[in-house]
Formats: sequence, structure tokens, C-alpha cells
Amino acid sequence: MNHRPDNPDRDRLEDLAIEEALGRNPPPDLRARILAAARGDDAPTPRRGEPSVPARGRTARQTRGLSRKHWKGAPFVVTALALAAAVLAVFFALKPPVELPANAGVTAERAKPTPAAGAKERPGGEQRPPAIQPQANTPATNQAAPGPDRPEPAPEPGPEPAPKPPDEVEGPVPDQPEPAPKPEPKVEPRPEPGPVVDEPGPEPKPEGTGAKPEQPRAVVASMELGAAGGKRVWSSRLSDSDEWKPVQNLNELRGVRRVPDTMLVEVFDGTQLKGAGGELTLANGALLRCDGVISLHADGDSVRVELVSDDIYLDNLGCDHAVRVTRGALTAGVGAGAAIFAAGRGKLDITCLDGEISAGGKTLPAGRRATLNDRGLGREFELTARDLSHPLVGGLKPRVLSEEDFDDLPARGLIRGELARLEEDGKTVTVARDSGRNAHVSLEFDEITTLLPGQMVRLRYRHTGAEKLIVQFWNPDRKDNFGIDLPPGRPGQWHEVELRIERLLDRATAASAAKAGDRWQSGGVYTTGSATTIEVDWVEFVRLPEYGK
Amino acid sequence: MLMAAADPTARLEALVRNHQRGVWRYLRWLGAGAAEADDLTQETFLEVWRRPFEQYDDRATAAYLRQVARNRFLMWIRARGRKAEVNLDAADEVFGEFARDDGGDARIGALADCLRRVQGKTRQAVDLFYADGHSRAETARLMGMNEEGVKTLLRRVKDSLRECVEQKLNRT
Repeated sequence: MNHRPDNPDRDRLEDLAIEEALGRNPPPDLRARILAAARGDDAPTPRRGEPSVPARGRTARQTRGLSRKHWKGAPFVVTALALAAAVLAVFFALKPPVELPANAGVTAERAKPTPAAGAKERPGGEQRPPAIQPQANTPATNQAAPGPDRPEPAPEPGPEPAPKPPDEVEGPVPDQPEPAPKPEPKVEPRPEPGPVVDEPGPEPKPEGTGAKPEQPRAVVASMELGAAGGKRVWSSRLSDSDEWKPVQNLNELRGVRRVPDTMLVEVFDGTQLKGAGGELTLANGALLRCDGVISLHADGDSVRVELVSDDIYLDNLGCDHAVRVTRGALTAGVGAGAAIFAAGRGKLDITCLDGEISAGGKTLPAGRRATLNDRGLGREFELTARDLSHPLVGGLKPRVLSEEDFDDLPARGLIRGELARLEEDGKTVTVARDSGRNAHVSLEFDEITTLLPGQMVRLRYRHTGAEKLIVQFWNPDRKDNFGIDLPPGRPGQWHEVELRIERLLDRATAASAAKAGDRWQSGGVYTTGSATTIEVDWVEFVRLPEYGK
Repeated sequence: MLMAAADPTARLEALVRNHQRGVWRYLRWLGAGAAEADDLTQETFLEVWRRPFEQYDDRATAAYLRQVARNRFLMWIRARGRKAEVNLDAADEVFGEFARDDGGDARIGALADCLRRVQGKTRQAVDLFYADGHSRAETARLMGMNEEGVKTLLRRVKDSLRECVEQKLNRT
């Protein structure tokens, strides 16, 4: 704001200053990151586009970009716990026996289970799979409030305070205070391990194997009971010598555990699963459908799927970490890809449907199938209609990639709108709301989202007074919005909209549609009209591929 | 005062606390994206951390940090075959005038105060163009105006904001 508006450089500086004063792109607090780097501390530091709050401590109600980072850090926790367990085992082995008081055998009362983090309740009662957590007896980590050595969340633009009369307007702030650390999302206490039948406590060991101290095991996947019409589609066991038992039988200890008060079942490292078309979500967010036998294993930052027999479909697009699919010594890597894997005698048939699969030192692109054996990847062919009509890819349901439910301010705040609590059918619902001329709700995502094949936008909203509804998203590479004008629907009623990204056209010319590979940075729901209100309950990105269509 | 004094970590922390916003804003203005500005700000402070310097006053320190940041930025854009968004020869003078001694904090604070007074149609244009990042054409379309009208509206509001900010800063 200098008195030389004719200088384009000053003009640009003024524009950036106005944007910042309005809460867009404020400077982050880089102290923790810089100090860590100065100390030679190689601990991960937040980078632009990555959440400032440790991924494990975030709740689903914070906007997530596409990637799902629930798994980040879990291997370190498991390793640390394994070491601690070993030290304790040695300690107790060496320690002389002591006489226990009478009540020493009583275990701590199990903490009251709470709804799983991330399980957003939709107005219709629908629940989403929660963020996958470490095993119940894993100590909560990454949940401490920001300290001098921890990254602090960037300041968030809040709702604008009401305008003050000119005589009450405060003078300029001489020295902006440091952004106060934002309270971390409240962390519910993890249930204590106790004598509860559905806990994955000490598993029965085959006789003669000798009892080993229990090692904490990581959760590598989760599945929703009843998701396949209540059929018994999954069975589990711990070893080849065990019997298969349906995962619904909660009295059995077979490497799975039902999350209290939910329909969710967690699967632990090393568990064997037999599926008849069942679906599960791997810890890194990948979707797996199985018609056969698999075993799941923690694998660094990700999961390894050992295909024992028959077929699986794996969709890892939009997930942080690559998943390895193995069959004995054969290994295929699934990064940004979706494929069907079929087990054969000494071979693994791979049908790549989206993205690419790496195997045998080669890359198999989408639309091709090939066979992996001990000589490498060969017998490569174009996909046929038959390949694309495989039963495992029929009737797929949308996979949630990211969501914002406005239960709390999004991580980067709202560009426009404010949070409001509503009573609806006896429940309290939090929405993002705006009112006035051309009211709209808009926000910037945690990180720039790269669109995937089969991606859709879904949202729930209601309005009053709108002549038109516009849903649009900002593409920073094209420097244009991609959106769609919609009839707003009946005023005062909730409406749900589902839009394939290809329906959203560039706003400048309407000549090109959004497509997979495009990047979106922010977006919102706009109304047109002289006096409108808009309330948005949730917005989410989902992926529903339509192979062969 | 030397940077490498008795408690070097505390000194670095204080230096970063006082100057990081100014350095970051400077880099953004030169043409770095937000993520690049994060990285280059870190590199700037690490460089001065490794090479202690005399701190006379905040203005001189800020100017020195901008010089280091500018060099880092130049290396960064050369490696990518890009150009700066501004005239680099005059960059320090222009930014120094804008940022004064506090990296621009007071100006941004004053600007936020002044923006609270902007109401009605003008406010809507400001929100759509600056806060939401719409193009001028898109802003015009959303407001039912023509593009030239939006351009005029935004120019006027910038003029009045400039005047308001200067008054506030000169009052202190």
C-alpha cells in the first residue's frame, strides 16, 4: 500500500498483501522446521501441502487431500513397542519372583469405547470407515500438543469479526503476535487391553511351539460388517493349522477385532483371510476385493498382500504408499494403480486396469495384462472385454478419497462462510454457512488434489433464495475454475449432489472438461441471487471406476 | 551482536521468529510458490545460521536476510529456467519500503483493519477476486457486472485501502 500504484511490482505486492489480510496464503510458522534442520534433526517436518498436525492425531473432519496418511509412523511405533516388550521380558525373566497382593491379577477396567475416529455419521445413519489406528494396546503417539520441537499448525483464517464503527477501529498492529498453537484434535483414550473376548490378546499357540512373549501387532486393514448384505464373506485364521472362522464370530480370536460400537472389524498383521467377494480397506487407504485366500502383512510404511489362491482386485490410486502383492517369491508393486491379480502355479497373472503396475523390472500400463513368473514379466496382451468384466470389478461402490464434514474448521480454514450448529432430527449437525447476495461457501484443500480416473464430487447442501447453484473448483495450473451450474432445488430442503468430474467445465470458455490428472487447489458452492443462504453439510471426493464402459 | 553467541539455538529461534514472515513474503513476491517459499525461507535461515553475522538492528538484519533469500531464489529459478515476477534490481528497495522493520506485519495488520470497513458490493468483489482467487472475468460474471466495471471497482478499493493503511501506519 504505497502511493505509487503505477509500479506493477508494487501493485503485485499490494495484491499479495490484500490476499494475506483476507486470510489467503498467510506465511506459515517455520520455526520448528528450521530449528530441527539446524540441529541436524532429520525428523520429518511439515511441508507445504502436508498437514501440520500429525496425521495420526487428525480427525476425519479436517479436510484431507487425496492421500490418506493414517499409516504414517505406525512401523516405528510397532518397532519401539517390540523393543520395549523384549526389554520387559528380559527384565522379568531376571527379576526374582515377588509375592503379589491379593488384587494384583485384576486388570485395569477397560476404558469406555468411543466411536471410532473418523466415523462421520451421515444424516441417513451411514457411517464411513474410520481412520485405521494402531492396535489398541499401542500407546498413542504423535498426539502431544505442539512444543518447541514440534511443528505448529499454520494460523488459520477465522470468520471475520463484525465491522466496528470507524471511531472504534483499532490502530495498526505494531507487531503481529505469533500464531498461538492450535489445540490438537482431542484424542480419546485408547482402550486398555483387558480380558475381553474379542481382543486380539495372546493367540492360542499350536502345541509344542513354545509360548513367546506377545508382540504388538499392527492393524493392516479394516472391513465393514454387513457391507456385503450381511453375508459371511470373510473368514480368518492365524496359521495354516488353524480352522477358518467367520470374522463375524466375535468370540473367536483369529487375528481380527471388532471396533466396539461400530460395524468395523480391524485385521492385524499376519492374519490369513478367505474372502468370497468381500471388500476391505488396507491401512494405507487402498481398496481390496478378494475371491480367494490372502494373508496381510505390515510392510514398512505400507502393507504386503500375499495372494495364496484365486483372485484379488486392488485399487491403490490416490493412496500414499505403494502396496506389494506377492505370491511366494514373485512380487508386484502397486503404486498409483488398480489391477486384478490371479494366482497360478508358480505365476501371478496381472490385469492392469488403471495407472500402472511394476513387476519383474518392468512396468505394466493400464489396458494391458501380463504374467509374472520366475523368468520375469511376459505374455503381455491388450485387455479384452472379458478382462474388463471380471466379477471382482462388478458392482464396485464409491471409495471415499477425502472428505470435509465441517464438524470443525478445515485445516486451512474457510475462505468464505462460517461454521454453524443446527438441530436436525434431534441431532446436532455442524455445517458451513453463508448468507447475503450470491452467498457461497468455499475452502482451500489441505493439499492440492490430483484428480483420478472415475473421480466424483459429492456434497450435501440446502439453500434459500438461490436462482442458481454453482459448484466449482480452482485449477492452479490452468488458472481457471472448473464448475457446473445446477438448478438449486427446493429451498429449505437438503439436497445431495453427485457429479463426475467430467461434468465440470472450465468457467472461462466452457470448452474443456475436468479430467483425471488435473489438479484442484480449492473450491466451493456458490449461489446466485440478491438475498441467498447456503449451508453445506459435507463435501467429499470419491472414486468409482467404470471399467469397460 | 554475533549470531553465534552463548545460546545459538535460542538466537536462531529469535531470528526466525522475528524475520520469517518478512522473508517468506519477500520470496512469494519475487515469484516463489507457497511451498517453494517455505523451502527457500528455511535455506535462507540455515545459511545465515552457518555463517554468523553482525546484527546491528532489525532493519539491517531484514535487509541482509532478503539479500540471502534473493540469492537463494535466483539459484532456484535458474535451475528451473524460470524468471522472477518482479524487477530484481529494485526489489529490495520496493519491499523494504513496504515491509519497514517488521517484515510487513504492521502493514498487513493495518490492511486487515481497513478491509473490515469495506462493505457491500465492493466487499463482494474483494472477496471473490482476492479471497476466493477468481479471475476478474469470473468475478464479473458472478457479480453480474462487466469486467471493466470490476476492474474499476477493484482499482478504487485499492486506492482507498492504500490511503487508509498509510494513515494508520503514520499514526503510530
